[in-house]
This record gives sequence, structure tokens and C-alpha cells, in this order.
Amino acid sequence: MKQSRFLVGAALQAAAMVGALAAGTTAGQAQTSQPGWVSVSACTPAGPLIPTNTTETCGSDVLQPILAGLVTNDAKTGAIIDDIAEAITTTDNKTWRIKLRNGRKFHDGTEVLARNFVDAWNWAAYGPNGQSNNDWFSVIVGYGDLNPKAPKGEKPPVPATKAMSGLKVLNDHEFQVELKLPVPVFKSQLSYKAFYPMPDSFFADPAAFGRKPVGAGPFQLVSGTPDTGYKLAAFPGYGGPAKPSIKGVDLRIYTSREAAYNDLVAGNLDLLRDIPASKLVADLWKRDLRGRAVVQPRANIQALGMPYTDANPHLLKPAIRQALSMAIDRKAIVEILFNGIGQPATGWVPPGVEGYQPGACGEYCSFNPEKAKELLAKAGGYKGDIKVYYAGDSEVKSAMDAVCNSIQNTLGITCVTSALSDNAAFRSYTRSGKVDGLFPSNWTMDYPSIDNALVPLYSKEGTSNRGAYESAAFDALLDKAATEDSSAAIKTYQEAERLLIADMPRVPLWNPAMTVGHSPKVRSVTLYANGRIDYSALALKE
Amino acid sequence: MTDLLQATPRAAKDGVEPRRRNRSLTGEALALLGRSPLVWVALVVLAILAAMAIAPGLFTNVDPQRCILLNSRKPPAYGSWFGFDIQGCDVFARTVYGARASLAVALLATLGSTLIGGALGLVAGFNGGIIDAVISRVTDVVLGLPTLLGAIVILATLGNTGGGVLRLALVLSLLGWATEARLMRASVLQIRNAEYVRAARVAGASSLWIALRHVLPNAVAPLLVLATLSLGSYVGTEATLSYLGLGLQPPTISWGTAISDAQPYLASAPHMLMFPSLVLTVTVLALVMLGEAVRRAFDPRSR
Repeated sequence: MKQSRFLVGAALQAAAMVGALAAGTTAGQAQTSQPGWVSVSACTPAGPLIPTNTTETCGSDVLQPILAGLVTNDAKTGAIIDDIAEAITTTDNKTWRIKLRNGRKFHDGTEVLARNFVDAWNWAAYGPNGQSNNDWFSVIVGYGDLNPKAPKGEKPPVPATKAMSGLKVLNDHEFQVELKLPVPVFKSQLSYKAFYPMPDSFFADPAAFGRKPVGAGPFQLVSGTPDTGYKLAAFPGYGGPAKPSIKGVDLRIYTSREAAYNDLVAGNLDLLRDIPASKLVADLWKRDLRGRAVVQPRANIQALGMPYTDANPHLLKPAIRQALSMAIDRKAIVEILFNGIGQPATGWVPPGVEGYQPGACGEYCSFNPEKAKELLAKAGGYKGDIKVYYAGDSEVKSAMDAVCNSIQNTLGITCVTSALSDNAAFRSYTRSGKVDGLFPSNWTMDYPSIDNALVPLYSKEGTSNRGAYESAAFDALLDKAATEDSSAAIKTYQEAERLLIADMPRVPLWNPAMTVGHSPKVRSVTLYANGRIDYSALALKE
Repeated sequence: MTDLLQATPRAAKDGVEPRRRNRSLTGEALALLGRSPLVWVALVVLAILAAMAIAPGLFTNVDPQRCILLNSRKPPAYGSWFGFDIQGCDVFARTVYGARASLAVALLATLGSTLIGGALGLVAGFNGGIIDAVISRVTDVVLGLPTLLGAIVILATLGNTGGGVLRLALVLSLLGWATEARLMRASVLQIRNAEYVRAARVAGASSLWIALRHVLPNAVAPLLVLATLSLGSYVGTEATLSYLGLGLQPPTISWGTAISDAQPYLASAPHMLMFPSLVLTVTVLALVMLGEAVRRAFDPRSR
């Protein structure tokens, strides 16, 4: 019976291995939090925690509770309210005078002064620092001096100055911003973390800051790493509008949301945002969580990104892009895979955003197999397989499978989904310009205005223009809108949005709703429109 | 089995056992196998599975890659015996088409590990000395490495770069040959000093000739038994690795990937998980049953 024992041994070993793997993702997470603390699921930040260089959700989720800016949003109404700013005044939307409150402190004990803003903005706008949020400062006078242009193929020269002439410190608590052109939405833009102040210690050692960021927000980072998670304790010296009643936030890193969900149901986790789709099916999560399930609308759009490069010549044809869009049965996917939570997208701007126009994409975003086939045939057909890439550690697999199946069934093109190992690999591949297929692209609004749904994603220099889309007519409209007053600008942006129909740079898929599950310990869970948890409203049951 | 084949009939002719006709060890073993109903059950199951792997079109005319979302999670019914999965794919069709990849990995991995292990075991056992010492120590090292852990480390390092069935089979063979090598070495050691081997040596036969002509045929039986048994375990290993997302990748359909896809929907669509698991279990059971019967048939002590 020697061989049989060997087999049994192997089977036991296999079982132990699977057990060990499962334990690996939750190791050390089974313990309950300290009293007054709330444990929240999080994901591994893609890079150092520097606000001007963090554009992805995982890093932002860690940074947001730590930081504070001039203004912030009211979680309930979405209105802009003053945070560190006491007054922001302008007469012409061009020259802005900003006065700070006295006594707001960074977590290291230093006071937030005007120079902390001016130095931070200059640092982020300084080209050689290579910050991904650099573009946000392009409206400020003197930005060009920090980002000298070089002829194609050459390295840009080192800027002669490190400061923008448009920024002036008036005194410790006041500074002035000179913009190149009137920007009516400038005050709302200031709620984005690119404009947040940085403590003096940051400029001495940015790398140390990236590991342990210091802000002026309601929570200070006590300890943590990208692999294990972060402990954020309420900052006793916080004097802003979002003072929390909880004592701390325990951000726990999960490699899969299924694992986080299991921990939530087992009572080992207090808060999980974005319930895995498999648990929405048949309302399973409502049964598991019994009244602790929250659905909230969200300013978000899930789209299908495509390369606008010669990596895939087929996808350069607008008609093929439109055919793909019309081959996707968005309604069935939302109804069946998400159990009706969320809604099919009808344009490139999420609903609830200022400037949203329903049905902006028109018939090209509705499921129409006949027209899709016709468009494909007119464009000369599609040879070969079409690939849909996604990050293996994300939850989009079932949705991308369904998109792929819908394209395959409608157009008869073999469609294959392909998992890249993780979020970092996915981001670097889809940004490389070499990607030869489709990829999911999710956009959460930085602030709820139409320009934020268009400029970063589809303008030539856009920070998140992963498909390398380029349209002179579209960019011209954006430039025009930037010079106009609020209501005229919105009309121009809407016109620009309608231009996207012809090129279909990304295929709008759906606007996911926010799903949150929480433990019995937590009550009054509210979220900002962009999906951030409002920790100041969070309360614990006695 | 040349030598044994010639050796036993002579004993039979002496009339010790007149009813037993000219039978070799292999012949007796086969006769014994033929009498066991369990073996026939296992063989029928395996024949069906082999047919599925070779010509899945005989069992279903549904395209396993054609998934219609509107059919999502529909339970088993007439015409769709196993129901539909979350994407609206026919579970029966996917299970039938999954046989090919799952069995191919198991077959190739068994073939690979038996060839590597058999060759090394033969060389080590036949030559002895320093060669034996080196091979045996390497075998010990590989034997000490858990196959599944090793496969996870290697496959995770290689990443999802494709390669599919062949890559997986290669990794499993490279990690799984040690038991085969040990077994082969042990049985070669037994035979190495047998009289007919010595006789051949005296007659001036070359080492290679003796090894291939006299030693190998007589030492290979235990190896074949082990191969049959490990076939079943490799089917399971493929499923485990694919379940963990490290084995086969879509669009390859295998039982492991089907189980992996179905797992999150266990509560809302149990049939999605049940049928591929059931077929997987039956396959492994049939292979283990056959292997066990073969082992017993070839083991003179169990008669």
C-alpha cells in the first residue's frame, strides 16, 4: 500500500497548501480592532504616497484621511466648503487672493502657512520632479518657465527657475495666485489633492514622506507599509470641519475583495466598499449582511479603453470602435451580473456631475447588433482575435468576460480576456502605448464638474489618457472652454463631449453605484460622491 | 518481459500446475485484472473520458465558447443537462471540452516524470558508485520539495505568459520525477545481480545492451503501476493550480478553471461548481481504482 499512502500524503499536502494560501491573505487580520477604531478594507498603493503623484484609487484611499486642503466637499450636498482657507476671493476669476485660518497644524506640529502651499505647488509644477499631477498647475502664470519645451526626441532643458511667477506669498497666512486666463471652477479644483499644502519636512526628504506622509487632515499615519496596511489615528490637533468621533482607522490590505467580504461577514472587518459582484447576484449580500448593506449613487464611469496607436491598426478605425460599442449589451450585464445596481452609461460624463447630459453618446452606446455588424462590415471587418486585458487582482473579470462574450456573439470576432498579474503590471502595460487590445478604465471624479471627466482622459496631454487619444478639434474646444465663464464653459465642454461620438476613444460601459457593507459596530455610513468614505460622519455603537 | 516470459513456461511444463497454461507474470496479472468488475467500470469511465478529450463534438453540439448572458445561472434542464454558468455558458459543453486540457496535462506530466525518473533511476541503479550517489542525492532534494509548492513558486514567477498545457506539464514533470527515480533505482538494484544478467555479462554483452535488454524490461512493472496512480493525482494537481489561477488560463477550458470561476457563485449557482467537480472526482477515482488494481495484480504477495 506504499503508493496509496503516497497519494493520500500528496492530497493532504495539497489541502494544507490551499489552507496556507488562504491564511496568507488574511494573516494577522483576524484580530479585532482597538476600541474606538474602525477597520476598513484597502488595496496596495501603486507607488510612494505623495499626493501630487498619486492618481490611483488605492493610494488615494490611504492619503485622503491624512490630508487637508484649502477647500473640501460637503459629503451630503457636494457643495464646496472652506477647510484650511478662511476666504478665497477674486474679482475676475484670474487673480485669486487666498487667506488661511490661524492655527491649523500639520501632524508634525508645525503650523500650515502660506508658504506651505506655494512651495508645494512650485515643487509639483517643476518639470524635472516628474509629478503626474503636474498638469493641474498649467493654468498658473509662470508654469511654462518650470516646464520648458524641448524639440521632439531631445531631453527638456533644466528650468532656469524653481518658482512660478504667478504665486506670491503676501504674509504668513495669505497668498495670491495669478492665472493665465480666467478659470471659474478654480475654487472647486482646489479641493483636489494636487493643491494640498506640504510640510517643510517634505522638501527635505520626499522619499521619507512617500513612506510616511504628513498632512493637516483629521487622521495621522501611525505606522504601516503598502503590504500590511496602515494605522491612522485621529489627530488631536485637528481644527477643521471634518472632525471625526472615531479614534482611528485601521486600513487593511486585501489581495482579493472576496477575502475582504468573507472577513466582513465573519465580523473581522468593519467596512468594505465595493462588494464583489458575485455577492450582488441573487441579493446574496443583503442576506449575509442583514440591513448593513448600503447602496449609494456615485460619480463614476466604467469604460473600455482602447489604444489610439498603431499597436492595433484595426482599433484606429472609428467605425470599428463604434461597432464594438454597439455590440455590448450593457443593460443585460448591469441587470444580471450586478443585479441591477448601477446603470448603463449613455455618455462619457457620469450622472450627478455638473454638465452631465443624458444620452450624450446617442445610439452608439446602445446595444444594436444589426448596426454593429453593418459598421464592422463597412470598416472592412476585423482580422484576428480581440483581446481584453485586465488586472488579475481586480474584480472586473466577470464583467470583462461578459463584455467579451457580447462582442464575440454579436460580431463573430473571437474575443479573449487576458489577466495581467496585478494592478501595477496592468497600469504600466496600458500606459505603455504598446497595448494592442481593449482594457477596462474606471474614472472616479476628482471634483464633480464636467471638465474633470474630459480633460484628464481625452486631451492630448491628459494625465490619464491611457489610450493616447489625440484630437485637434476636441483639444481646441477644451482650450476655448478654459477661457469662458462658468455656464458658457459647460456648454463648450458638452459640445466637446459630443465630438467623442465620432472617434469613440473609449467605450462608455456603465456607471457603477456604490455598494458598502459594514459591521454591526458601525453606524451612519456616508460617502462622498466620488466614493470616499466620510470618516467624520462615521459613528460607533456603544 | 523477455526473460521471465521464457522462464515461467518451462516450470509449467514440468506439470507442477497442469491447469495453469503458459502464462507469464504479465499475462497472469492481466488475467487477474480482467476478472475484476471494478477494473471494467474504471476502464469504461476512462474510455468515455478519452473519447471526450479526443472528440468532444460527439457528446455535445453546443459551442462551449458561445455564452449568452441572458441564460445566466439557469439550472439544469432538458437540453442543458448541467445548466448554465454565470456568463450563460453551457456547463455540460464546457465540462466535455474541459476534459482535453485536464487529461492532456495529466498524461504529459505522467509521461514526462516517468521518462525522467525512469531514465535517472536506471542509470543510478545500474551503474552504482559515484553516479548513483549524485543522482540519489539530487532525487532526495527534489523529493523533499513539495510538488504543489514548487509548482506555485515556479508558475507565479513565470507569470501569465502563456504556454498553457505544455508549460504546466513540463513544470509538473520536473517536480514529480523523484518518486519514479527512486522506485526504478530500487527495482534495478534487485535485478542487477540476477543470474541471467551475470550470464549476459559473462557472455560479453555490453553494459548498454544489458541495461536496455535485460534490466529495463524486468524493472519497469512497478514504474508502470506508479504511473497509473500518479495520472490521477496529476489531474487533481492541474485542477488545484488552475483553481489558484496559476495553471491553465482562459480561453483554455479545463475543469480546474471551471471550478475556479464557479467558486464565488457557490451560493447563487451551485450547479456551476457541482458538475465540473463531480466529473473531476469521478475521473480521479477511476484512475486511482485502476492504478490500485494494477498494483495488486503485479504484486505477487497479494495473490
